[in-house]
Amino acid sequence: MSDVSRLELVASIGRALCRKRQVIPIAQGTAWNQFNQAQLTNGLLVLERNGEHLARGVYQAGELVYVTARGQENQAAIAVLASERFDVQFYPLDRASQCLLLAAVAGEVLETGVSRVLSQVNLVETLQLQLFDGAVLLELGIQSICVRMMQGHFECSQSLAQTPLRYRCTKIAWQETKLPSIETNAKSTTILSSRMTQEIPTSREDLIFGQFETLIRSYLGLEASAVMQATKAELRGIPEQQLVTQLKSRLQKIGSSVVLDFENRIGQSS
Amino acid sequence: MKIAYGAIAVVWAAWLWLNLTPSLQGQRGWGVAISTFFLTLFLLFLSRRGEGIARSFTTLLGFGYGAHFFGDVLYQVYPPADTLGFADTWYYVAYGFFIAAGITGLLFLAELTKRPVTIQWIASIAFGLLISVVYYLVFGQATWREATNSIAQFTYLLDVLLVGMSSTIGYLFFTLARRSWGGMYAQLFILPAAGLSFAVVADMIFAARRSLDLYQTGDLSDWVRLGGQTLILLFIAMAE
Repeated sequence: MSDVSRLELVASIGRALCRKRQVIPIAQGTAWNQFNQAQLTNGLLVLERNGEHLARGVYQAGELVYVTARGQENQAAIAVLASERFDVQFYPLDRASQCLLLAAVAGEVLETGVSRVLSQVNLVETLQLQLFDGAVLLELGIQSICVRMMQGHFECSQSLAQTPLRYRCTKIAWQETKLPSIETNAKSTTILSSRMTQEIPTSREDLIFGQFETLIRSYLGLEASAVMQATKAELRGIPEQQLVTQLKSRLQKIGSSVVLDFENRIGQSS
Repeated sequence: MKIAYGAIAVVWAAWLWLNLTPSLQGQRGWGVAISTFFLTLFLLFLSRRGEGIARSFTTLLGFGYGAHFFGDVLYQVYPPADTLGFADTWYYVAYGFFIAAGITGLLFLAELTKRPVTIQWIASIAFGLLISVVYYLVFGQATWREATNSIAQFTYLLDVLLVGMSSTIGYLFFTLARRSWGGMYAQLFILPAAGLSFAVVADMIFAARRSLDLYQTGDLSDWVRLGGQTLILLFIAMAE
């Protein structure tokens, strides 16, 4: 069994007292392209491969988890949490030019996975996404990850660059076919300048609040709504760095590991 | 680590089972004392691993059970001392820590939500007093009349007050669990709430002991306490 990789998925289900564990054996040498589904609800997710922790955290409906194993960047596991169930799909990312798109719409998995190959995609070129609100993962090679989309807005941080670039798609629509489509359309995109990135676009603020709420809700459950109400009333509209500092000071009361998690989620690792 | 926790859980279950056997009839007070000691160590160990509110919470629970342990031992070593409330004094300290843990949880929520929790404080204390009064009216009057002197009456009142304090603790913890339902902290609060609520029952049984057989009710309340501690241990294992 030594040549068998094991991907282990653990998720707490709904109520904290109940825990479900699913172990998915994956033969070595094959990509994680087997289609596996685990029906779990929101909660703690642990992804392990051969005992190596790939991802661990508490995720909520509509969130998207992305992991790659060290040294095996061409393979990835992607998980999208739906409202009442937890769909996990594994896709091979065996081509640098492959673009993988997965969308969760309004907390439900709309498409179980659409993979399109876009040869020689240049990030300066742009993408027009025709999707609802929800979590989106866009994989270009192994570098670019976009994890959130809101109506009318699409953000993408490109980790190859030192300074994250943000792309805005000005036209995001919904297709009756419910199939996300990707096409290059340079005119539809505005690249935010570095000057603009110093300001907090509304969506950026929403993203920061969203990640804060995700973490708070995972610990405080029902009480998170009251926390968010108070937090937003106090902190809406302040500069980004100040906002992040304030939110981190609140999360510090839960623990420093939560603060680190928050920093990672909003892309401000210290 | 999980293997270690599993082993502890097995030992704990075995200990609980042993204390249910007739062979330990009349000795369960020691059973409670020993398990309380290890629960204290375990909680303090966890508090060093935890952080934030979880650390504060487990620290206060650990101190509480530490005080409870001294009370258990004192009562076993010199039961007559309890007639003057010596052992009970440690229980009051223990319950004070438990209440402090509950209030710490409430303050934590108040700070994040910017909402005062004064009402919850008052409600929890009022609930404890109400349970004490009801308990006294239903069970306590006859015992009170049977008390031969003022010291015995005073000791009995302390027992009734202990019932009130444990009711307050139960109210506080269940409030926390309800408010944080669905989150990871719900399990942090709900099982101690359930475990400490067992203490209410144990206190009630113990406070009524004067009208019942001392050893039987003493054993029963100890057994109930052990059950409560097992629930708290379960919470620890799950939270890890």
